[in-house]
Amino acid sequence: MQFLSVAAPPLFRLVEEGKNRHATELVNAEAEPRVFTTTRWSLVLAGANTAGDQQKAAQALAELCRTYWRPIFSYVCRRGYSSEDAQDLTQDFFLMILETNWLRQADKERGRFRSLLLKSLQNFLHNVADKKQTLKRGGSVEFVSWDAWMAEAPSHVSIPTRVLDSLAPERLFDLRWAATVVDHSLRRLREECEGKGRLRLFEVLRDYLTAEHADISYADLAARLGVAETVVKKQLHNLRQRYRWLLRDEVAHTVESPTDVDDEIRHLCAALAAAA
Amino acid sequence: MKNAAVSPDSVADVNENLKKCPRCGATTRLDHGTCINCFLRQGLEARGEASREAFESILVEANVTDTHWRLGHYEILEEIGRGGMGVIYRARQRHSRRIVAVKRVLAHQMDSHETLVRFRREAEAVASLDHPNILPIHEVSESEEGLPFFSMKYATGGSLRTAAPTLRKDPRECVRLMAKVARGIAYAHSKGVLHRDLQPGNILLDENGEPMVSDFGLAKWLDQTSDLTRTLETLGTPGYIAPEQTECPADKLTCAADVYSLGAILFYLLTGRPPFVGPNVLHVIHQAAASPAPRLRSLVPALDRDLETIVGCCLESDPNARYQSAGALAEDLGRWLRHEPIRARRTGVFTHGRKWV
Repeated sequence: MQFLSVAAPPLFRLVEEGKNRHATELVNAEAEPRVFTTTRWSLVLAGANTAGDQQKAAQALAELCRTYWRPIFSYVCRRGYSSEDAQDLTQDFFLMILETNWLRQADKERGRFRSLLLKSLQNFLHNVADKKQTLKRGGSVEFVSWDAWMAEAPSHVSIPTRVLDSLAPERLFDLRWAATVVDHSLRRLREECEGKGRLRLFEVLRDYLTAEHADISYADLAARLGVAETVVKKQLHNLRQRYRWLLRDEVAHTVESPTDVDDEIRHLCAALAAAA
Repeated sequence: MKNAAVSPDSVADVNENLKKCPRCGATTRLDHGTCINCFLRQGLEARGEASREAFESILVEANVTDTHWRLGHYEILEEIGRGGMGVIYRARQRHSRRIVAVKRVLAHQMDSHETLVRFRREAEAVASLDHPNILPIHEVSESEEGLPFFSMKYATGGSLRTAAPTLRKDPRECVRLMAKVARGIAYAHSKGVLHRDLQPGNILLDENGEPMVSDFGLAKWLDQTSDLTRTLETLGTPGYIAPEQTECPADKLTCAADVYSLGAILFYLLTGRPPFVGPNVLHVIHQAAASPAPRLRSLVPALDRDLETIVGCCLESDPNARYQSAGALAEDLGRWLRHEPIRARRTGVFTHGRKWV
């Protein structure tokens, strides 16, 4: 079974290592705040050229796959595969991505990581169906550990049945992608607050990050936190600003140019609107 | 002690009662509260600098440090578990200096006075349970913000989930532990309390490695609260919940549901996976209702045939075909440990065929 612990090459032993990765990530990001010139995806694209740093590109690609494996798995499930086959296919897909010259073989137009990944996944599943490959491959590689998956308490996406049933696999992929972007951004914000001993502040103000001014009772929040209302206003503004930056940073890592960030966010918002 | 309500997430959890976001009209949520669309759109609103240094320099101005964070008589030390419903902290009782675990429900899960009352009543009922294999609840109380929380023994030995890889090598130890767990559950049933969300992460181990069941009965009130929290997720952890838990009203469930979960946990301990796995709760439940659980020895042929029979009896999809009580399961596990004949009988091929026609 693919869920048992198996020996895996270092490149694939990623789930556990990934838990505290944001610390280093943020240090790098801070070098050029708001510019995002060296995103993971741009590193990957540079690596596809002979002039790029191959090792950095491989690491960046693995990091992206590690972050965005759930949309992949959701898509495969949605295409009708059993969850066990979907697990195997997800592992195989990442193996193909990470251990072959995937990018050089991929469409030369390239584009964003999300769209290229989806297109590659579609081709991959098409080939699997064509070749009638057996899915029972012995579980020699484990990119995503079932146990770790269970243990890491991921955030859940809740959706009404009628909406879920009406979603095409591609839309579900985008929806899950959007959820991953938001979830990662919030987790990073939480880690930063926790690092400064302000987890409680984050916990109390988190639900108000998107609230309108008129919908917030600053007096209640001030009473809960034991501080003045002006402090609540300042801290909420501060958290909101940082969250927005972190979200754009998350998105920036999946596009080639910083100028694509707005378009990518709008694309994901459109996917969510379709699921309304 | 990562024993928050943990369950896997892949495609999505369906939720029939999700209200549209009052701000944007979207119906997709993260953790039942966060509107994904609203949080995503924030990225389009970014203005000005927000470097980490600038952010943190303002952050630390607020005199709301976690070290002085108290819930009732408890000083919060660190978060040790988190799920969609609540957070668990390691905490210190102020006067006794005793280290305890404190669980509180997330603010957005509590939406009415009635819910608070129900939570408190339920928690107090669970706190009255006194058994060596049930994690003791010390106190049920409310924070200054009016949010309920309770304190319980801090289990230092992790959970069956964390211990599972080691236990897998020792089937007798797995059975010994689960016999004790079954006795604890039988005692709770005798007091009229069902667990309804038994899973490896909820079985904690004390400093001597003895099992203690935690999160007792809490799912019972959680799925009766607001629309937002009334999701399939609150029914339990996929892979371990009985198939009837989706169809049966909460007050109609019997102890057979917990018996199923006990069998599923033993299955997990012995094979390394729950009997059914799937991309979401619904998928797993459909599998559990539509097909017999895999036989233990189809995954680990070296396991004893009687053990396969015991586990199979717990995992029957028909509640009436399972052990009639957790006590009966505990007794059969005891017989197996003593090398005595067990009472459960194998379900034959004929029975399976007839059942699924």
